[in-house]
Amino acid sequence: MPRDLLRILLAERAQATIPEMDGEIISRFTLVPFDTGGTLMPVAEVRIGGDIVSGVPVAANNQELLEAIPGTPVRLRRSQTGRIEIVGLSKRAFGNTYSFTLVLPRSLPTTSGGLITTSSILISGAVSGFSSRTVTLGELATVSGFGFTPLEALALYNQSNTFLRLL
Amino acid sequence: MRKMTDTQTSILEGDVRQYRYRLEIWDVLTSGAPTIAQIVNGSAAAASATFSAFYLDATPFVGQPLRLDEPGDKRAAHLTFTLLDISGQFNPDGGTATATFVQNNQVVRLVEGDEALASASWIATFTGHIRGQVGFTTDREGIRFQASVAAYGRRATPRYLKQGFTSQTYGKQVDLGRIAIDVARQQMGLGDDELNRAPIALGRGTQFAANSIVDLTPLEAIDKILEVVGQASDFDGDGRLRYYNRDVTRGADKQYDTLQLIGSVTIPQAEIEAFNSVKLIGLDKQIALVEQPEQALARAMIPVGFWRPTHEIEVLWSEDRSLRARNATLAVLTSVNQSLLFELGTERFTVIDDFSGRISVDITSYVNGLLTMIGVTLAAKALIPDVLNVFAAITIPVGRIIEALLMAEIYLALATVSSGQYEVRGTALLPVYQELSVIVTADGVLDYLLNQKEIRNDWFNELTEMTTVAQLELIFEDAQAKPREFSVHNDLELEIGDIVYLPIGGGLRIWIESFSKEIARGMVPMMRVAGYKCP
Repeated sequence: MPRDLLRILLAERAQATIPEMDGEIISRFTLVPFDTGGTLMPVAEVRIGGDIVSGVPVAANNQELLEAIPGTPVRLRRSQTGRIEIVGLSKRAFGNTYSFTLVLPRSLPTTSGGLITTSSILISGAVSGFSSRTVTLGELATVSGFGFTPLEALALYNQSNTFLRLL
Repeated sequence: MRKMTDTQTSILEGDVRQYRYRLEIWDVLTSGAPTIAQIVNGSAAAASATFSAFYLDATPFVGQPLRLDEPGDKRAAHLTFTLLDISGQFNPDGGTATATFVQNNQVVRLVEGDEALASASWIATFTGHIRGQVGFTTDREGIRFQASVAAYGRRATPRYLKQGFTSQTYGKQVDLGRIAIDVARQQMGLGDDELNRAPIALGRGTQFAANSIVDLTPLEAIDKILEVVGQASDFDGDGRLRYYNRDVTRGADKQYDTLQLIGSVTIPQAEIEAFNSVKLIGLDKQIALVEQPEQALARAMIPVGFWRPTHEIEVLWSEDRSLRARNATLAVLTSVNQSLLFELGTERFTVIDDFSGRISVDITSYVNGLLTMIGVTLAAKALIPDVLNVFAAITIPVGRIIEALLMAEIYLALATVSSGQYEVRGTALLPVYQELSVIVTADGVLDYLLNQKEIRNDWFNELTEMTTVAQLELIFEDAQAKPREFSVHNDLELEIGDIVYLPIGGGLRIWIESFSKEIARGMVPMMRVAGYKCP
């Protein structure tokens, strides 16, 4: 059906032209030499949905953004080729994502004639989400051995507060 | 399902029919003309003397065929026909009075019925507006004048479809149905009679203190609201706003017990990229609090002294009590104890709530004791007499000496004043909306074959309702991969979103997505109905 094809194409087109999205800063800003000349630029790690992107720069020298601490929702702008930058603060933070698997209902013909109809079954699956915070004193000793992780180091945790990695 | 009376059903769905139709064209543009609301609610009936000048029964002029398409999927119905006559009265440039009836935006109605049924009981199956310019051909060889007209259903009304609006702001626990009805009334200008098929309550309230719709078109706004309860909007044949259900697992609305009225049933070859996963993104009804860098929340200066045992001051993090903060601690910039003579007191800080705290300075008991002593000794000194030294013949002013000592006490008490300067620091909390996502994927989908549909709708605020709707949407998308078509002898009960049951192969339930028919004189039209096989 060309109509359905058109609908899908239009939806994809609409998706492709979305220039802005919401994200969440999950690390502190660090100055990194960004180009071959070594120009220093503040960048942070940003979470977009279930993905984490490192080295995201701030659109301009926005002091409010540079002082933002991990967990702050931010507005991101994406270029046509997929590069993003932080353009401002946002009012939307990410929550958890709940995934389910659905056994679809089916009507199947039986050998004796007639139909057997199965009902749909919803199987609850994973809950996923991220958060970042400074490691606790107890974790300082366990994550990489005592003395290796500096005080106030940031780490990434999942929805059930399980340590994932240091940022 | 269109509601019909028993008489209507027995005649319009019977085996013997004398099919008739009426094509009404209404002038709504000339002054004094009826409004579309009056046409829809029937107060501007064809027989009405007031409006007879604005009504044209175009049935005699209709050239064959007259075609009605209802494409479904939130698209407007489409009616095309030609008008033939020998005088050329529909010529847009001809200057006749009749030509005004075929101007852009005039109202067209298709009313279907039967010779055996009173014409008042006939059923309107299309109400819409003429779109654009009427085509007109003057054919010298054929000696005929033909006007081609296209009309679109009310869904295609530009204001409903294209004009963004800003709604009023609704508070907490306002039924979403009321918001949808308000949009229909205020932005689409629909009246009670045009809304009597749209439920006022959807049983689902708003969750936030402020809810408004900004820069959406009226139909977009209504459909976003209806999405929360698995419904979609449409206009019925009468031109009234109605909702239909996208749940394909529900029971059939109409059951054909025999195949007597059914012409054919087709399983079409179809190239469909069906979605096998649905992702819903809504806003959690619980606002999340995001921590901000530590900052100074409040400053205070407290002068202390002997005049009050405890000095207290209440501090707010912001003047309007709007700033919320945690981990508030007191930083003493200047202590009251940095005074000239004595330590004056203890400084305390209590957090009252997330928005304010209290700084207290308790004056030491020494200062209190001092004050009591002053009182007692001042009273006592007056009673002490002077002593007379008889040997030196002088009077020793004992009372004055003691009084001087007491004056030193008063001096001390007056010196017991100080002031402290304080700052409260803490972590400010910023309230933000928290997105809530639900993904429902069909069982057994291979990773690389995943095709996910994403629905963003801020009216979704709870996990359970989102799970229900995501499940419903996925079953709907799955059904879309199984299109079915059938033809039926003009069944006026059927509407988009209905489920019909056909007694084929153990029973086949079809969710109707669209239909079309060509209407010619003297025969019952065959309706071609397209839809999806329900599970």
